[in-house]
Amino acid sequence: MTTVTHTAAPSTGGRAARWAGRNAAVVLVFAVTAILVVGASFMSETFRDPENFVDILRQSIPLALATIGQLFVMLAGGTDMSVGMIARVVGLGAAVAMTTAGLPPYLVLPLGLAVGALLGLINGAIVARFSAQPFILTLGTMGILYGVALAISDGPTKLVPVSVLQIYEMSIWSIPLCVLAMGVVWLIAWWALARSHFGRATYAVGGSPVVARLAGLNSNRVIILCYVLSGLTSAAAGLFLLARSGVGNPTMAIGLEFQSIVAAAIGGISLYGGRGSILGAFGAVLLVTVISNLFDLFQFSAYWQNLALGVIVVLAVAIHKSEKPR
Amino acid sequence: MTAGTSASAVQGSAATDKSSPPLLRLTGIHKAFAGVPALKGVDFELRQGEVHALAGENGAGKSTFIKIVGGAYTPDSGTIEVSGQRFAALTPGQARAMGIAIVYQEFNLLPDLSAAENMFLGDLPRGAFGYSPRRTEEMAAEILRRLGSSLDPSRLVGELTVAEQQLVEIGAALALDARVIVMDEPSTVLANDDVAMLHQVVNRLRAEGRGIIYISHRLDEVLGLADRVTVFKDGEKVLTASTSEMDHDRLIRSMIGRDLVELFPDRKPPSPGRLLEVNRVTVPGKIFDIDVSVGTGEIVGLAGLGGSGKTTLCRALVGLENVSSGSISLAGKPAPRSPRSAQGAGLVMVPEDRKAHGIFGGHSVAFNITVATLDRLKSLLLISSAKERVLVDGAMSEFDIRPRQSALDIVNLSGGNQQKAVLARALSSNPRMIVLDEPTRGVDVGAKAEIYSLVQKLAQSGAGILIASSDVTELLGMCDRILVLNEGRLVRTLTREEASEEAIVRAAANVPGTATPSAGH
Amino acid sequence: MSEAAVIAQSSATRAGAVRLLDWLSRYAAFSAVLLVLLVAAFIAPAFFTAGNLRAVLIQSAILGIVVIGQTTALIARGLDMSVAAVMTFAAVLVAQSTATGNFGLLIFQLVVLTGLVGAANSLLVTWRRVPPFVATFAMLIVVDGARLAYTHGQSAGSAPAWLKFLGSGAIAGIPIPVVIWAVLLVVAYVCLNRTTWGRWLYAVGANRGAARHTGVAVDAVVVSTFFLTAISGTLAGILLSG
Repeated sequence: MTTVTHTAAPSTGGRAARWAGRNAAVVLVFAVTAILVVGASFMSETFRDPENFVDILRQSIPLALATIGQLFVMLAGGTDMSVGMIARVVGLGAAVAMTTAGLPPYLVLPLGLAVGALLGLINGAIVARFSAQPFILTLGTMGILYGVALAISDGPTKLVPVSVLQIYEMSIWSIPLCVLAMGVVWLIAWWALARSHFGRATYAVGGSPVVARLAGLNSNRVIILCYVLSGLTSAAAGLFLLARSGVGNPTMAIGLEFQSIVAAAIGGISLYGGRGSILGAFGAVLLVTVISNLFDLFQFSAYWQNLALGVIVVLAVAIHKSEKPR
Repeated sequence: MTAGTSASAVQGSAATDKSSPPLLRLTGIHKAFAGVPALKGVDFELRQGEVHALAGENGAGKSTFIKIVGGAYTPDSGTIEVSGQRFAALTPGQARAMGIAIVYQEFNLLPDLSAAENMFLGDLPRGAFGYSPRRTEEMAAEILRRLGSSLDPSRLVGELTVAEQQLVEIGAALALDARVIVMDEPSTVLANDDVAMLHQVVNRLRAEGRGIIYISHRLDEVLGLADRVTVFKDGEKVLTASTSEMDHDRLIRSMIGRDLVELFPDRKPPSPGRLLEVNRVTVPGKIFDIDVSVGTGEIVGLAGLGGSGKTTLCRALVGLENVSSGSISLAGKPAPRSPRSAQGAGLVMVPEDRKAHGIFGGHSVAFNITVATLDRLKSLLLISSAKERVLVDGAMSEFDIRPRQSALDIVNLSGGNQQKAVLARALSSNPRMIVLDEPTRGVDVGAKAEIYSLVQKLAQSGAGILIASSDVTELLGMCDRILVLNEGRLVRTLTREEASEEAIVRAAANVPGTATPSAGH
Repeated sequence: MSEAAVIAQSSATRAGAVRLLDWLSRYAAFSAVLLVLLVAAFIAPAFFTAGNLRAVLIQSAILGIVVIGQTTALIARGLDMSVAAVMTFAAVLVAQSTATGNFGLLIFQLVVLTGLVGAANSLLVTWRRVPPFVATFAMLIVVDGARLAYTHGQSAGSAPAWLKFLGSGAIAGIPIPVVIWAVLLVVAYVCLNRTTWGRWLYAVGANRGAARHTGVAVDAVVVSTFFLTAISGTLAGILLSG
């Protein structure tokens, strides 16, 4: 019998080239970031300073956390608009718990994360069981949490214990611990998406619920888990913001949900689900943070920053390959 | 005969194992939908190492049957016996667990995941750090090798050709180690070269002792590739025989041959003037070099199987397809390039898929009927509800749309009445050239008769009509001329006198010797 | 009671309950409003003073005008997330015009704002085939950013006198925004139900493929909705600053 020949397996170099072609937009994001970084390094001594690079990484943490959570939810076919409010409620709640109630950080911080996961669970459960529209539902959750945050505290809290501030400050050999931790989080997120069964299932559920069902995957469980992750990362973002500023504030994490969706859009994550990567998310977060840093450095009026960011987003969405609507 | 099939026929009978118990046996399967029977007491058996073809016309019950085998449908009565166990019905999970895999015509693949991942989706192989892409790809490559392919399993499915995607689907079946593999018209979506490769794959599967249910309407394929063939007709099994004992004629005769119900009004010969002229029209990849002409008062039929290009041609006439060469003209003037301008020029096309392209669900019958000709309802720039009521009531009684309530949501109407409403809309602009694609699909007998008499009346008032249909009886009853398409080409033209069910079916299946030397008019 | 009677009675109750729930869900919005008003009557009777009701009505009217525009987009299965930013920007432009007193310039600015946003949304959705949510969301950020850049963070001036009349004045005792809203509601009703465009809008939303087959100019319809949302946003912004 003759052998049916289709295209043979290419070399590793060929595989990389093929990947690059497929994910051209992500490559573009990294390229633009690289150009900006290189260009700015020539133009500004402050930027060239390694401390600045480290600081950029540190500043990117809240957005990074939120975007990772958002990435999972979007891949599964939804959107999480409650990201900012979960961060706020957890951050503010933790601040109040540690200052007014005097509870110790080693108790409050893990509890905060648990609360975030629980809120995510509620989101996910309603979306999965009642087939609710994720965007609308999480918009509702967002509204409820907005009120909860105000109920917790309508003004800034007192300063939190010094040990909490260490989360932001502590460094080893001049590299902040939080940056290293974030690096680990990125790796874990990558592993979860690319190497775990759950990750593949997420792509399936978001890409085609029919195929997922035929393959015997439990869509409900996947969806719920994605929202739990989002709640968890949002809570972590809120706690980090608390560690950074030292006080809780009812205006914390404002706009975080929009920023995370923007980062996702720039990073090539499809709003319809089933397409996107950790690398894209990472590149987008990096790009956005670098741009913000440059704005501050070159003293771009804060008022032009939003507009510039908006134009970048518009260009990004216009460039990404158009997808078929559902 | 396609190359390679004669060799596989010999290999086929050698591999079929008649001594071991059958892989699958269905007995007395009944299934009806809303009172309309789709399968009437069907029996079927699949042996190890056998390719068992399933043949029959559209609507004979083949799709329903395989959905029951795959667990998507539950039979009303009958038993399913697989691996020695008996079931009254299967769930999709049970079917999978029992080693039954179905390769549907529309692939169930995730384009953004690799071929390997798609193959092992429910059960990805693990490594030290969780799911291991390397192991998955190795296992996938192994399966593909067994199928005789060197396709790189790390490639994304979205980038593969249709033939390669089909291979991934088959690979997924093997990943489950399915003993029973059902293939629903797998050759329909493939080009000729790929079909030969598909046959080789099927041969390999057969050699491994698996059982394959192979649905096809290509008679060559059925006779050349399969060991046995079962023919369904109108929901019943009419024949199961070894393919070595069958020939084209016997096969065809078993598939057709029903009484022509007196549905069709008498046909007076038309006095044609040229209305629609289609000259050597080509739509890349779909139809090639087609000539069609329809005169005033003439009813012309388009026959052909799935993939023959009937629908593409219909769509091309209203500018919905990318015509790369050839010309289309209407009453001497070049054809319009969009449905809107076509309507203005007096040409309308009623699409084949009512649900996708025909009805506006969630809206009233009145809305559906009037939406194409809203100008007629206007008085003083606004739509007048009085005029609308008059027009709609008139249309509903002319087309006998029931129930006679124009405010009813159109999805609540029966298929036949929905189709009549769609026709009413198409005809509201008084077109002189009407193209109908599968006008009576999913329509009950009563409504069918009404539609036929309507078409007849239209022709007699001078309109030209082109009917594309897979219902051969319909074409025989209505048309002055029938053009048969196969694989995008015009292979036979039959006049009313020459036409017969057998002639059409033979031409549509492109049985050698049926092509008209100068296919045209 | 006999078992049959018990069953009959409980199923009758259940049937009644189902009917009530069905009715409630169809008129969910109205039911919710009634419920809230009912609760307010007990908790916050101050809600029902003339002044407060007037303010609520005006706010509703302004929101309602935006909703009219958004509704046209939604009917055609689209969405416009950028309206809020358009509204805010328009309000800012109006308020800042007191400084210059240049009415002509204001008109020009408003037209440019509406036109550019409508055009950008339309291009992204029909030409680049970007999903409406994403495209208009991106425009939301752009417009918001443009506003901040324009105002440099300074709070706007106050509205010119004639505009205060529009925003806070009344005709025959009914606040003007409410009048405008009522008029627009009527116009919208007529256009949606009694014009070709309206029917086409519903057709595109119900079944895009069928609409194309029926000769509806699908892209033109979609573009029109984006301009309508932009216009309604601008109009609401003008009234808001009054």
